[in-house]
Amino acid sequence: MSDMAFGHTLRGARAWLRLEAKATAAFRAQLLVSLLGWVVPLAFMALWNTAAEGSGVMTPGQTTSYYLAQLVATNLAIGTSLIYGLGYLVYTGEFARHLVMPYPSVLAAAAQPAAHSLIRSLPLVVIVPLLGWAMKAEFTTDPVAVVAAVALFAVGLAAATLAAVLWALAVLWFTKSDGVLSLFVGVNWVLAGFIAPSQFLPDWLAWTMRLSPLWAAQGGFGELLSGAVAPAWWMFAVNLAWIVVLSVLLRWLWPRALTRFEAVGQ
Amino acid sequence: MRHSWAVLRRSWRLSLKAATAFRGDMAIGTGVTFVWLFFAIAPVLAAGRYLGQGDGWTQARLLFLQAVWYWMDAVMWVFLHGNIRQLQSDVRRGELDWKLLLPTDSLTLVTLGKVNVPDLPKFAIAVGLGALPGSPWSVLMFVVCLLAASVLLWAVGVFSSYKVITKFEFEGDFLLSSAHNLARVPVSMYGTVLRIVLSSVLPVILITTVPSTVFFGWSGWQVPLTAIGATVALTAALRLAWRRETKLYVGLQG
Repeated sequence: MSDMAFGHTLRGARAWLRLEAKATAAFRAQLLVSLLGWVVPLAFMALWNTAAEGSGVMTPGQTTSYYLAQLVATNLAIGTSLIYGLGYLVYTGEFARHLVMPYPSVLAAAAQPAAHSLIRSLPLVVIVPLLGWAMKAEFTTDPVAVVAAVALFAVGLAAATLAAVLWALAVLWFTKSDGVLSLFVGVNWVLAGFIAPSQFLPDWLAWTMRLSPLWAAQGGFGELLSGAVAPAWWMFAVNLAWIVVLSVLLRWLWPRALTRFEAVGQ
Repeated sequence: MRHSWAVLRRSWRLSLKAATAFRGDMAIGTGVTFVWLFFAIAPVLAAGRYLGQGDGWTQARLLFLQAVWYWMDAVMWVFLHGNIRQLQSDVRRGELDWKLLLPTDSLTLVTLGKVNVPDLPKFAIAVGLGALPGSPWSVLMFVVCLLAASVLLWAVGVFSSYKVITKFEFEGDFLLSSAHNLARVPVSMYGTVLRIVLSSVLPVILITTVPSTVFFGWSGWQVPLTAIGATVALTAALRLAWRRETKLYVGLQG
């Protein structure tokens, strides 16, 4: 892609993001309700706070901070919404018009989830510190670990989003594929450390998680912030390698997947 | 009542036929249902290794609670989600009008008319997962609480979304998912503030915790009566709210 085309795409993405943010903010009642939408981390936090008591692996304060980090990370992640968004566009046939537009067609499914996640996450700036204070969360005080957690979150988010786009391409083969698409959510629950911090799991599963492209942006971010693990070079190396591999794979698979598209519906 | 039931039965038969049109998706969806069972109980399986006897919630009891949760998940996905999405779509496309004019109970038809076939096996899975021995009395009280909780979840689900009839962009089913997800663990495991909220402000405690504690014999006979009372009150309130909202409905006429 030339510099001009890249700049054009970037401007298009920015404009689209702004538009979707305005549309999201326009329906205030809807926005208010969706802010309360993602509470699963709170349920698992309650479970693991009970289990952590006297476990010798993590303290309840650390599991609290781990799941508060998960709350932030999952609200910022767009993978699942992107998968279902693309699934909907393909199933209804609306994807057809995006193919002829002068921007990468994946933007059609990515802009709305990105705008939603940004707006939805704003109240967390207040909610997370309040919950942390009320539930006696123990965050690490090591500045290196905090910086490493934020950096790992950024590279992990990129790797996880690429993995989600690749998974979403299944819809171009199945057309209606809610079952296949929902499997991503399940796999993400395990590999991203949503069901449990990796510290509590058997070694083979813990390392499968840590070496996957889904762990860094959620579980790794939470474990670093809670002080359950120390920053390590391999965390970044693994995710940078995933970004390269998944980008190459996506570049190869995307045009092939598009040839499978058959417009049905409207 | 009998007429509404007959309409509902025919409507469900139609859903079964429609599901066979996308056989591949149905087969995959059914398979995925079984895979999701693992994802649903995985946290409890993992946490069970570290749970002591404190509060009485051992791994076996938490797995029983997961079975109750899975039953409610089936209620939600088989009956609620599809119908709520259909209601939202009907309002936005101006297609709700004819359903309101049919000579049957519109609340029943609109909110229970469709069944999501691939999720039906969840009911059987829940029964299999929760098959523990219990005294006839505790089983009877448990079944009463389970049925009351199923109706209650339906009422909460419809309550969370019925406003779409007049506010056509409203999508409140997030609230239903939230209530359902918070019921994944016993309410007693939450901190004081959340425990009070989930026991009194939101009826989350009635969804999984109460049926489970009744089965374990931790609650007296008053608890099923309270569950029935809360369900009847909420359903009556829902009927009133539905009638009021549909009166204000302005069809977009396609």
